[in-house]
Amino acid sequence: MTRRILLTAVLTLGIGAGYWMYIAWPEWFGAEIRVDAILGLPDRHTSRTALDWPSGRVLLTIPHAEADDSPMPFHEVRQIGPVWPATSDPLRGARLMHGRTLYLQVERRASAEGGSALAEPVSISTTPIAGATNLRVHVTRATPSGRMYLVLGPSVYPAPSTLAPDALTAAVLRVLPSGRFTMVGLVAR
Amino acid sequence: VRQPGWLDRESTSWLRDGLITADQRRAILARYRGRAERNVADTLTWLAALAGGVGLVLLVGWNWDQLPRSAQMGVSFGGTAVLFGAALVAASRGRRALAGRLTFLASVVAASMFVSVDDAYHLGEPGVSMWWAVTACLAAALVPGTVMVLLASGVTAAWLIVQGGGPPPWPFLALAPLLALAVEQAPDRIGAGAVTGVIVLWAWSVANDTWWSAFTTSLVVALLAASALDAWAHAPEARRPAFARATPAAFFLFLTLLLLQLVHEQVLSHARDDATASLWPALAVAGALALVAVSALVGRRPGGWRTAGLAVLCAAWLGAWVMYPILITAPTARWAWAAAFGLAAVLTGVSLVRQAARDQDLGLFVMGVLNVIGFVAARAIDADGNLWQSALALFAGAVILGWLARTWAASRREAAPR
Repeated sequence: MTRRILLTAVLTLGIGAGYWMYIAWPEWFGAEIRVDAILGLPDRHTSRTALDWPSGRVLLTIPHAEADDSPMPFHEVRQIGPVWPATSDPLRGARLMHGRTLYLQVERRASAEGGSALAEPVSISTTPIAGATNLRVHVTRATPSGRMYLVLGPSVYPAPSTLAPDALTAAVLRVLPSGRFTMVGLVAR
Repeated sequence: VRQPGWLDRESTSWLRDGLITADQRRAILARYRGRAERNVADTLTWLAALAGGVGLVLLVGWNWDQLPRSAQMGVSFGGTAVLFGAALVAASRGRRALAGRLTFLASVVAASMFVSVDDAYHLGEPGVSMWWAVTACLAAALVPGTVMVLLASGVTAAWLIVQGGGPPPWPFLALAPLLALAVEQAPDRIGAGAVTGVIVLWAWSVANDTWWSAFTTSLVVALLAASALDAWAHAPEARRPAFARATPAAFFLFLTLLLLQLVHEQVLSHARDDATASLWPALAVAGALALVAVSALVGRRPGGWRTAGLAVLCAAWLGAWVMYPILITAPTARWAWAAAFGLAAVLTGVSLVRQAARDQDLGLFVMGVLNVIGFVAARAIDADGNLWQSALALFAGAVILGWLARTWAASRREAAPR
C-alpha cells in the first residue's frame, strides 16, 4: 500500500506542478499586449468585481445572416480561411460554432484618449496566423446573425483598490506565438 | 458487544422453532459481531475526513485574495504534499485504514492546487475540475476503495457538468479505463453504479452536443454497444466484473432517455432538421446489437433467446427512430408514433425487471423500476397542466409498478429454498 500511495502522491503533485507550469508559461515567455476590459461594480460579499471584455464580442459576415438588434457593440472581423461552417442554415451554423477553439488576430491601435495603445480584434481563423498576434479563444455563444462571444479572460476579478469602479481600464495579457495567453493584471488607461 | 437487532430477534425465534441449535446461534452471531459498530465507525471517520477536507479548503479560501501568489501556491501544494506524507507514514506503520482516509483527504485537497493556479492566473475557463478528476481517478485506481471510487466519479461528473456548453469532453475516454480499473479492484455495487452513471452522463452529453456529427456519435454509441456486448457475453451464472454487470442496465436506461427526449422534443415539437444525420449512429448500434443476438444464439448460453429478443427489440426501435422523420409527416401519425415510442420505453423497464426477477438481481430491478418511474414522471410533466392526462399517466404508472412489485415478490418466493 505504501508504494501505491507514494505513486499516487507523485502523480498528483506532478500533474499539479505541470498544470502550474503550463499556465504560467505565457507569463514568463509571452509578449505583452493590452486589451479593453471594463470594470463593473464590486460585489460586497465576495470582494470581486465583474469584468467585461468588449474585444470578446466579434461579428462575422455570414451568408443568410438573420437580423439581430443586440444593443452591445461588436468588433467586425474578417474570416481568414473557412471559420463559419459551410451551411445555408445560420441557426445550424451558430450551433456548430458553439464551443469551438479559434484564433483571434489583434492589432495595436492608438487610443482616442491618448493613453497606451490597445490591441483590437481584426480577423479570426481556425489556426494561428504567422506574423500576427494570435489569441487562442473559445466560442461560448454564437447567433444566426454572425455574432460570437469569445472567452478572453475571467468574468470576475479581485476588486483592485487602486482603481476607481468607473475608471477606464485595460487588461494586460502576455501572449505566446502559439496563441496561448494569460492575464497578468488590470491597469488604468 | 451489541449485535444487529434484527439478527438477535430472528436467531432467537429460529432457536425457539428448532431450526438451529444454541451452538449454531452463537456461531451465527459471532460472524456478525461488531460489524455494525465497525460500519458506524467507518462511516463517521470517512465523514470526518470529508468535513476536514472541506474545512481546510474553506480556511484557505478565507481572505485568499489578500495572500501573495507564492503563499497561495505554498498552502495548496504544501497542504496536499503534507497529507500524502501523513498517509505514507500511516501506511508504513501498518495503519491501512488511516492511510486510506488520509489519501482520500489528500485527493480532496488536491483540488486546491488547480483552484489556486486558476485563481492566481485569472483564467476565464474551467480547467480545475478536469485536472482534479484526472488526479482523483488515478488515486482511485491506485488506492482501491469504494469511497475513492465515489470521489473520482463525483469529481468526474462535476467536470462533465461544468464542461457542458464547451467542446465535447473527449479526455474522458482516458479516464474511463481508470474508473473501470478502480471498480475492478474494489468490486462493489455502489461504486460500479456510480461509474456507470458517469459513463452514461458522458455518453449522453456527447451524443446530445454532437448528434449532428455522424462520426462522433457513431463512436459513442458503438462504444456503449460494445460495452453492453461485453457484459452480455457472460452468462448470469458466470463471474462477471462489477463494472460490466452494471452496464447493460445503464445501456437500456440510456436508450430510454433517448426515447424520452425523442417523444418530447422531436416527434411532438418539430421534425429533426437533418433526418439522415442519425443514420450512421443507428447503423453502428444496430450492428453491435446484431452481434449480441448472434453471440447469444450461437453460444447456446442460458437465456440466449431472451438476450437475442431484447437486441432485436432495440434494433427495431432504432430503425423506427431513423425512419420516422422520413415517413411520418401528418400530426396525427406523429401522435401514434409518440405513443409507440412510449410503449417501447415502458417495455424497456418491464424487460429489465423481468430479467432481474430471473437473475434475482436487485440492482437490475431498481434500474427497471427507475426506468418506469422516469417515463411516467416525464409524461406527467409533458401533459403540462392537463390534469386528466397527468392522472392517466400516473394511473398507468401505478398499474405497471404494482405489476412489477408482484413479479418481484413471486420471483423471490420461487427462489426461496423449499
